[in-house]
Amino acid sequence: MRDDPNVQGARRRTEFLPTLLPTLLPTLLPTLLQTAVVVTLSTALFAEPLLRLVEFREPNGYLHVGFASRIAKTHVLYPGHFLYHVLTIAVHRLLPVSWLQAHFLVVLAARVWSALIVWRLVRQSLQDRNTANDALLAILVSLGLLSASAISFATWGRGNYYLGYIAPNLTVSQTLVVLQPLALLTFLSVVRGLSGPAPGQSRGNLLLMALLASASTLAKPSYVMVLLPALAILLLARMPSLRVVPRSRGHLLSILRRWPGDLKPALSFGLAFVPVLAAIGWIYLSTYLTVQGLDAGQSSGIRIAPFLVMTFLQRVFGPDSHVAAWLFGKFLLSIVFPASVAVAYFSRIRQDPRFQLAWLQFAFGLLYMYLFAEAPLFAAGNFTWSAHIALFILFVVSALILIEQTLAGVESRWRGLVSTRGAAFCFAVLTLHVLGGIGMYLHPWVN
Amino acid sequence: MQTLVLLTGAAIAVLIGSVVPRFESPQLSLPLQQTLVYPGSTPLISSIEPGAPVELGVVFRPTAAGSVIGIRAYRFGGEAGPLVGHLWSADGTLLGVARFPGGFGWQEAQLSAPVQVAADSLLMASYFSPSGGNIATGASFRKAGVPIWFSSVFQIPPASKQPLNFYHDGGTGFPTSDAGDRTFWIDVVFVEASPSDAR
Repeated sequence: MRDDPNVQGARRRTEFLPTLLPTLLPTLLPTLLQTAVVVTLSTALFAEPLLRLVEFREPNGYLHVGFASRIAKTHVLYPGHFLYHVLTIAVHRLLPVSWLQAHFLVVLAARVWSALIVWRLVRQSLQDRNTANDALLAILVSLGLLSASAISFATWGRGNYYLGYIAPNLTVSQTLVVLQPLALLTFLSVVRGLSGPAPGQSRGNLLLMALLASASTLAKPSYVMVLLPALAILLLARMPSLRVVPRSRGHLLSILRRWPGDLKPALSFGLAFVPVLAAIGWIYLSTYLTVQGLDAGQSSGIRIAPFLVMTFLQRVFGPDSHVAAWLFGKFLLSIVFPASVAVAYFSRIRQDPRFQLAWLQFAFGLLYMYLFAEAPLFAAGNFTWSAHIALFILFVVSALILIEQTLAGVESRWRGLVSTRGAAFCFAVLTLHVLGGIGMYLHPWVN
Repeated sequence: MQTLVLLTGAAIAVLIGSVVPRFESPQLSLPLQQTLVYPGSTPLISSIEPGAPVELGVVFRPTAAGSVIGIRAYRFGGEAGPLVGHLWSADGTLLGVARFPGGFGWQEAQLSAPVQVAADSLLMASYFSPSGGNIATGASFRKAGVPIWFSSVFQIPPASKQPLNFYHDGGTGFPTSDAGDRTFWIDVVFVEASPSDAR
């Protein structure tokens, strides 16, 4: 009598498991344990400043919790970037918690998720070794990257921790906190698309990219606003026909005939971003043409206003005559770490798509931060968020590159940190950024 | 490995000893408080001149029933004397009193007892300034572009042309003189009745 195929399959599975488990456990168990440690540490570390923001009723945070409760009551999706609000409503409805508790759980979960993503990336850069030293290093670097901010010691005496600086880990904006993991995942999916032999051709990755980019847009449009122009420039620069100087009219025509083929990768990427453009359109309409516009009782929208916002934010702290000097100094103190990595390893990493995209994004972030303003609510500084989120990604990319350049293949990780003067300098500077971030977290309700 | 175990132990101690009790504290279980003025708004003026004693008031209307629990006022440092906040009905009946602490920036004073108000009732929040120093900007919050959508309390009923800001010279009292286009930086703290957020 022959066994039923289902019974045979079940038997194979039960026989297979005992043989598989001993093989997998030695690799799975350390990873699971480390995951639990990252979750525990990041929860404890980030809960403190987030709780203080709630306890002090930080105005921006409180406002958005109010928005969530209004959406639940009126079903009007305002503001247009409603992902945080919808998540908060879901938590408030599913769990027996107040609005403020629901808000806290959402932002804390977003921070922990960011920590897990960065930790996974750092582990990959350390080549997934499960030694105790690597585990500790990966966790410390990840939590450090999630805490890093501008080297702002000089202005702590004025109660100034982030205004005027560019801060990779701002927690005063919960929509930015929710954006952080989504922006990082979107960036990784775009880099994967750029890195393959036929950029943008994998349908699965394009779909993933579309989903992640749309979600990040609905969390806060600040990231896709820098991603889209940066990606467009990278794709154009990679077009073979644009790299050739035509020698004759015939040559020019043959180059032009190659354009449709050359444009294919860019068009594939473009297709993935159609939903994102729709989401941006919805947010623009919602922000400037409906509720806010009506409330303002006057024309609202986007203006080119060089340094208007940053000068306003700086004047809270500094004498008017020194605004330009303060802003320039604060800009430099915000980017010491990524700039050091770029200078130290430029020749080796300039072709790395992560490096190219992260810096290009940041350049667009700076453009928005210093040149654009909303009208009439320019003081909200909503065009500054793009630079903050782009700098966060630049910090992560710079750290990964630094690890790969200095620690890959090195048996003693701790000695590897100071293997060259460049490496030691870069790690020391990262430590200063982390100390700057700790200062900000200890005073989360100040500017 | 020992370092990781120690770090994790410390993290668990922080979670149990600090995070969980603060998460469950009454402060995080309170219903959401609403204000007239966009949180974080500040007047674009840097100082004020002292003058004669005056009471300054703004008219507002809640669109839902609830309680007014406090009055807020924007202050620069250096004004003489403590501010006293008042809540009035439209006919000038005093409904509540709040005494401000010192300090500058947005200052909040709790009314001695929350005042229950009906939806669409017209009310006035005011404060008495013994030194007469007051912060007034040239346009109403609405005209200045302050979004008020998030709140159930409005400084002005939408589309209404009625005066918003009033003053009373010489001492404390119900403000009845129209301040014209000037906006006084006075606000209220309002909690909706039967809110869904109290758990």
